Amino acid sequence: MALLKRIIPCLDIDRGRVVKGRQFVDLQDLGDPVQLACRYEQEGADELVLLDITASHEGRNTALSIVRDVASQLSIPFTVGGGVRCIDDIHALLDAGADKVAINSAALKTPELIDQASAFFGSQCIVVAIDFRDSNHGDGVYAAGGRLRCRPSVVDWATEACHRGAGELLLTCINRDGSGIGFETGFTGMLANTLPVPVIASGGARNAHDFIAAFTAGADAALAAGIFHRRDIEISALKRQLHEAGIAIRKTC
Amino acid sequence: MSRVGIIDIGSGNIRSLAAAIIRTGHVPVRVARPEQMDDDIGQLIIPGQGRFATVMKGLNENGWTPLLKNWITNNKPLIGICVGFQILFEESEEDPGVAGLGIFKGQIKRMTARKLPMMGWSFLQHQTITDNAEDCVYFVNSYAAPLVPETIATMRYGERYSAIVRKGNTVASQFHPEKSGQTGTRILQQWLC
Repeated sequence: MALLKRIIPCLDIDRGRVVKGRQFVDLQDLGDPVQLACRYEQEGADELVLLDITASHEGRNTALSIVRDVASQLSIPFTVGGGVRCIDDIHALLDAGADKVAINSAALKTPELIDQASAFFGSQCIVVAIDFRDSNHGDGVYAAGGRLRCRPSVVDWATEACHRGAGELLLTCINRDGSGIGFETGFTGMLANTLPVPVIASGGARNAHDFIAAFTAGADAALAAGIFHRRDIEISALKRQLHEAGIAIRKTC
Repeated sequence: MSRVGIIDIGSGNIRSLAAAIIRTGHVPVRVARPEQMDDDIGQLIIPGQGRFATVMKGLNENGWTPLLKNWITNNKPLIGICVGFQILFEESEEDPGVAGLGIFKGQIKRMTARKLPMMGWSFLQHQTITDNAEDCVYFVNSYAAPLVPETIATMRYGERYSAIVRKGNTVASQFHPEKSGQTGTRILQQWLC
C-alpha cells in the first residue's frame, strides 16, 4: 500500500499549557502548546493530537484560541479532542482550524452523534477515540478516565463506530498507557486489518521496537506522548530506525 | 504584489490555507462573492473540504461559476485544492448529476482500495520533474481523478490517479499542500504568483 505509516505525538493541554500525564494532581508544565507543536513538526511528526484535559468549562475558550494559533502555525494535520460533547463543539473546533475532531465519551453515551457528525462534517473529520483494556486486564471499553466500563468488547464498539461513520479510530490501551511495555497489538492489529478505516495505536510505547511491532501488526499510525515530551526518543532517530526495519515512513529533510 | 483571493463559500475551514499563503510571503484575502473582489486580486484559489455537490452548489449560488469559467478562458492564475481540484473535472461519482466546471475531461471516481478515505502521506510521481522523486504529501480523500493529458503528477492508492493537473495558468492538486509540511509549502510557493 502506498500510504506511509504516521508518527503522532499527543499534547495534553490543561488551561493553555502542555502538561505531563493525564492525572489531575501534580501536573508538570511542559510549556506553550504552539511552540511544542511547531517543534514536533520540525522534528518530523506526521500529525499531532491535541487533547484538552481542562476540567473546567471556562477552559473551552482557551482551547479554541490555542487551536486557532496552532492552525495558523502548523503545516501538518492535527486532531483536537477532549470533552467534545456535541455537534456545536465539533463545529467550533473545525472552524477554529482543527483538521479532525476526536470524540470519546460523548459517542459512547450517544452513538448517533457519530452518524450525525460524519454526515454533517464528513467522515474524514471525525475520529472516534476508544479507551480499552486488553484481555487480561479488565477487557472492555472504558469511559470517565478509565473508571467506567461501558462496553464489553472493543472489537464490537470499534466496528460499530466505523459503521456509524467514523473516519478514523484512535485505540488507547489504558492499562498499557504510561507503562512502557509496548503497544497493544492484538485487538489493534486485528481491527486495523479488518476495518475499512485507518487505526491509530496508542498506549505503552517506549522505543522504536514498539512502533515496529505496532506497524507490523497493521496499525496505520502510532501515538505517544511522554516519550517524546521527555525526549526519551527523538522523532528523527525513531524514523531512522523504522526505515532501517523496512517500515514505510515519511522522511523529513 | 497582487493579492491571492481564497473563494470562501463556507464549505470548510481555510485558516490553515490562509496561514500557509502568508508564510510564503503572499497576501491572502477571503472572498465570498465575486462582487467583493478588488482589482488587485491577481490569483484565485478554490479550497476544498466537503463534497463535490456542496462545493458546486456554493460556487453556483454565489455567482462564481461564470466568473471562474471566464477567469480560466482568460488564462488568469487559478489554484484548486482537494475538492477544489475535483470540481474542475466534469462530474463525480460522489454526486451523480452534478456538473463540475469541466475544465478537465473525465469523472471523479470512488477509489477501490479497502481503506477509505485515503488518509495520510503518500508519494507524488512527477511526470516531468525527475528530481524530488521522493516528494511526500498529505491526502484525505475517498474519491480521485483519472489520468488526463494535463496530469503532471500522479499518486497510487491501489490504482494510479491524478495528483496534480495543470492547464495554462490553472493548477490543481488532490492533496493538501497547506497540510504537507515543507514539501507542501515549497509546492504552494511555486504556484503562487
